[in-house]
Amino acid sequence: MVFNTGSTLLDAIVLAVVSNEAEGTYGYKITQDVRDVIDLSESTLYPVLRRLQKDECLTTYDKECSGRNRRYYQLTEKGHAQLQLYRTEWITYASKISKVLH
Amino acid sequence: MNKNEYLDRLSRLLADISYEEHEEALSYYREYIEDAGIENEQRVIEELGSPEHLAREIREGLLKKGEPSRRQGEPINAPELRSDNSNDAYSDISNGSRTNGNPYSHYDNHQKNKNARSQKNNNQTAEPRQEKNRSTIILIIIVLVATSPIWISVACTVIGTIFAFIASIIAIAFCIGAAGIVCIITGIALMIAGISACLSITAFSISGPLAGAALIGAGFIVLAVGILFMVLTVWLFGQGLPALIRFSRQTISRISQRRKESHI
Repeated sequence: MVFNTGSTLLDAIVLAVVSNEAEGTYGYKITQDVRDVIDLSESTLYPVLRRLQKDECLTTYDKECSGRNRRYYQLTEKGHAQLQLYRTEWITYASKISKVLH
Repeated sequence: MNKNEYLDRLSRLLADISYEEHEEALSYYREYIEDAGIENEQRVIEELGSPEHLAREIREGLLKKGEPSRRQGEPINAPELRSDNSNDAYSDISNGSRTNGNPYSHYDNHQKNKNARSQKNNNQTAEPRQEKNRSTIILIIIVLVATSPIWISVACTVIGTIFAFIASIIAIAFCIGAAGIVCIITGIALMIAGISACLSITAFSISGPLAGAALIGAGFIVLAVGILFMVLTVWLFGQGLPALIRFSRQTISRISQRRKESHI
């Protein structure tokens, strides 16, 4: 990939990846899913998740999994609204870019 | 470096951030490495980069949160976000890769740009705030030390009271249990006495079976009371006590949490 992913786009991707799992998903899986789409280092995602959590776009719950704890992330109502906003924004943006770049 | 060494080092590097953030970050990365599986442990640790690098990223994430978040908060409420937001949001993408030859260093480069930018922003605002923070923390520590004779004794009293309460509940539970056992034994004894009274029928008396029936009845009642006591004891040990302990632990952690927050 020669294009950069800005932090807003990264937020949008993370929210979309988390929203794909109805009962929530965990840090390692989110990282792998995001890395399927864009290039990023394994350490980039924690600050993003933490910030989205502080902004009340994500909520977490802990679940025991094979004898240890695992933190699951889920979208809040605000997170869903934000994702919806990103979706519509992205459609406008992508179509504009495609028009020029086609 | 194995997992524990790596996390220990990270923990030490993050020793000065708030307790809450410290725990969050460490448990996140512990889970992360564990989720990767033992066979991938070494690879993940290498890909995460040095603990120093990781600590720096965690710190920068914390700094960014201090700014009012334009991208997150406002768009939902503000209808005019598009003109303002699209500039900010996508300029990252447009100004990034044009000058940049190496396709693999993009993210890093971009990150550096951003860091440089956020540092510029923060230099004016963040430093005095941090200075002020530090002086308030020192002030709080002085006040805490000065008032320590008061709050240590208060804390001891509270903890002592809670322990006494739990201990007395345990004692009561034991007493009820003992009473239950006694009642059950008594009940069985009464029933045996009743049955033997029934069997000792003599030709001249019908009082034997009557007394026996009464004894058996009384035995059943006492037995039932004993079983009730036992149920109560089991409930106290199985549900009541754990609930009580959970409640007091929550209370204590809530108090200390509040104290921690007031430190920040």
